[in-house]
Amino acid sequence: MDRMLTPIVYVRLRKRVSAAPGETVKLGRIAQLLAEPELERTLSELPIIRADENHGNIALVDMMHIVRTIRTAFPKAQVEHFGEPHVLIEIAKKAKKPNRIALGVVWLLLFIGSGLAIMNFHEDVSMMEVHQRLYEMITGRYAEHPYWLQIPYSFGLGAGMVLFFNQLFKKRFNEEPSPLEVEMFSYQESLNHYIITEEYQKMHRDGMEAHSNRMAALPDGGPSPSAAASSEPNPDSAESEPVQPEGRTVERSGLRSGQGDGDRP
Amino acid sequence: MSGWIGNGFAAVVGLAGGIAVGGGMVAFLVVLDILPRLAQLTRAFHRVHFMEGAIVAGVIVCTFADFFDWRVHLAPAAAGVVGLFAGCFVGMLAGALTEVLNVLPIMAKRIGLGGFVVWLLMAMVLGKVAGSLFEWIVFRI
Repeated sequence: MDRMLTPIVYVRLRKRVSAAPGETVKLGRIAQLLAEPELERTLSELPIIRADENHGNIALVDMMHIVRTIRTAFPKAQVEHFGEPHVLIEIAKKAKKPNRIALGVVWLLLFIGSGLAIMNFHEDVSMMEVHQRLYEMITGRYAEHPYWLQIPYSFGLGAGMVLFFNQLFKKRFNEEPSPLEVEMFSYQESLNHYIITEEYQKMHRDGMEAHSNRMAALPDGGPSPSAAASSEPNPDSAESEPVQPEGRTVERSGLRSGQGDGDRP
Repeated sequence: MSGWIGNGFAAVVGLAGGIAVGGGMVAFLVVLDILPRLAQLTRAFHRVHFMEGAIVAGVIVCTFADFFDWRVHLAPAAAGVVGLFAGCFVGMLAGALTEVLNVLPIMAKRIGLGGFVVWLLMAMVLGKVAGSLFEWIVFRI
């Protein structure tokens, strides 16, 4: 056990974690840890925060709080962290099943809306006259309704959009992400960025009060976190496994965390 | 003599107008990121200038064909091929425009339909095809 004199704990926080309300989020849920195997197991059971209602539906845990918690349990531990110094905890009632009716309504909305939009566009740019002129240029004859041009044109319209988004229903042409996926990803990133900035401001405003609240929110398992962890029957474990719908985002953002370092607050 | 001055002035106006419209069109295509997307699909990032050349050539040839009334006498099926390509291009413009406006990510996020974006996308694509067919076959009679 003499190796445990100054144990070094390497911590890499995840970006975003989902938790059920009332769940006690443990260190292992929000971070990848690297330490002596025994210490690592104990640490991953260390309770960090209880996800309760007064956090709203999103809570920010920053590295300072985690270091403080680890040092309380293991005063000698030296904590090294990589990547982002904070993690967002999404407190979701349950993984919401999307409403089929809403999906249908939105589908119809987009279907009719984009159909109308393309008609308006065609009227706006006098597409009919252009088609008649183009048909005349190609075949040498004027046609009131150049269907030979217009029907392939209409299907080409759909093909162009599919080509742009790299998606034919569920099948894709190659492995590269489509612009839409990139867009969804960067939208989520900017949302996270906003929330993190906002939460840090809140933390500053509330000052030490916020910290003491957060400490109070921890279950009082006494000074020995391993005892607390083992005595707890862990009722959330059944729920806590599936509630991470954004595993893909987390994974991908993990790859980019080096790039993201520049723009964090 | 005044005819020369008038024609010269018209030439200057025409050149200025052409530069403005051409610049605008290129700016539009650049904003919509059509070329990088096509380069990504064909894995030909180093050939992007070749594609620029295609755009410039297309613009010039079509302008001349339009203004000088060039004609070829081909079968209607040739018009079909041209129509397919033209539609493809307009479809890409439409797709790029939707993407720039960020409609789908926000909508999917708002109503929690994150996993169904593909279906929403297909709604838009099919809506465009149906709207276009409707316009040419039914609406414009």
